[in-house]
Amino acid sequence: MLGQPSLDEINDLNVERSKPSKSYTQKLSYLSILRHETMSGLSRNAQCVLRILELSESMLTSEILEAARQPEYVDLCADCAGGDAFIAAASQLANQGLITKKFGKGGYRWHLVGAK
Amino acid sequence: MDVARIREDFPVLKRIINGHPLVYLDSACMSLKPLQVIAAMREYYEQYPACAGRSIHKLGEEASNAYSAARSKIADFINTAEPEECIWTRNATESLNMVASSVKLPKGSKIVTTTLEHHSGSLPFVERARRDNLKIEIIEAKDDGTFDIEDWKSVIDTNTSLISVVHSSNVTGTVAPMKEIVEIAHDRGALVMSDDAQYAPHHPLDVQDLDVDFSAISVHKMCGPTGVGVLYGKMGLLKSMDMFLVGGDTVADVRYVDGKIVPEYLPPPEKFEAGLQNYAGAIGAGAAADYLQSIGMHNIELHERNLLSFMLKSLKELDNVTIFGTDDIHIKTGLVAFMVSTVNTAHDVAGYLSDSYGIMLRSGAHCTHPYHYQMGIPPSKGTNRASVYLYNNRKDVEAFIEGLHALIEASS
Repeated sequence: MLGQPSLDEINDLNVERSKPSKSYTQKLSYLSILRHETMSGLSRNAQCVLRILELSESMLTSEILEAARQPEYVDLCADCAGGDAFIAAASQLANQGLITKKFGKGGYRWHLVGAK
Repeated sequence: MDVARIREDFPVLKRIINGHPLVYLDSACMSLKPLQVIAAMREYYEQYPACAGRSIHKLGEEASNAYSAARSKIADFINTAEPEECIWTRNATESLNMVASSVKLPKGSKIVTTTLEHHSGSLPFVERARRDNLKIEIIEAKDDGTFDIEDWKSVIDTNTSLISVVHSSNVTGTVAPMKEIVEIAHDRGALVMSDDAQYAPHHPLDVQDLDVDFSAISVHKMCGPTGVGVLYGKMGLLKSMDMFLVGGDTVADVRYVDGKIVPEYLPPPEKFEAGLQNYAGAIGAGAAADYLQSIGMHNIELHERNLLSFMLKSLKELDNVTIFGTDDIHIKTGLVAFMVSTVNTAHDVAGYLSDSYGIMLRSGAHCTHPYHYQMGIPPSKGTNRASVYLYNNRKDVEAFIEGLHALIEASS
């Protein structure tokens, strides 16, 4: 479990607070979700999706699945190669209002709440 | 077959999902449950929730009778020589693992399996081969999911000890030529393990007629509860197999002699059913077998083939849709795997149809990664699978096709 945001993450946030930016807003949203997850017990795959979406304003489903296979996420993102559990977790997050999705050209595009 | 009346037996079909009547096309993964099965399990929990086969009281007697009857119903459903050839397991995967782990195979012999297997049909035998340093050879399915019988003739030799083959593929729906495979295998002295997880719920299955040595069934795919499976095995083979789990209920006696504990084990099926069993699940399985037989497996097969023909014809008329698996419905179970080229992953098709039309179907690689790699499809892109069962009707297929039309337009 990720648990509470780490001290480093909070310190980074404090530094960025003095110079608000789009990434700051996103990170603030992400950290609020991390706090939320401690209360609600989000699955590792849900945490994986949140962490990946932090990287970008929006991502296609295929891009999330691609990112989840990268080495930096291996400790958090544990699904079979088909990615079923990631997408099921992403859908749950969307139903909980933590992320949004919109269907269009190429399929679903996923956004972190707070990101544009 | 009165589908409208059958649909009344399935309470979930009354649900409205996202403003649409539920269209359930994911029975190849999980079948819906009729009231008769739910009632049978509820009766156990409400009226006689006791231990079967050990408690000497009224509730225990009722539980024992119901549990024993359930085994007979399953045995009748697949036509075994005797009920004791049916072992209760958790699912077909456990049934396959039980055989892979416990069947006696000669040193240096060969196991044969295929690229079309569900991972549960291949991996237990891959691991058995690794454990005992056996050879293993893989027969490649054709792209449409069928096999060239000549491949079986050339690969199965007199050194082959066991074949694990999926009777009906969960991704292409193709039905393997089981009788011919069994004949070739037995001619060369090999045993046949048939993965009937997809076949048993949709076709009449007669294990004696097919002469398979083992068969694996998942009850949740045949209108029964989750967490229940069946392993069929010929009695002589079951008797000769090593035990899978040991403990309570597997023993006739455990003596204490000269400072040693000496067990004396029971014959099958108890030999393979260690610990307290899933009585409610078994009773539900029996009710499911009864329910399907009351409708008739030939009727169900015919109904599914009619829907399958309509679905295949409709899908072929859509641009941007690629269908996998044979379109010969006489060797196909009621499912269609396909890809939509206007979206990047199959998951988006499943998500969109659920969100916008209340249509449930499967996406992913369906635990058949080797076949997807063989077809050049990365598992993360995957395929979609729409599967029909006795409670589906033509309206379900029409809604599915309408949903696909809208999806293609929205994603193009």
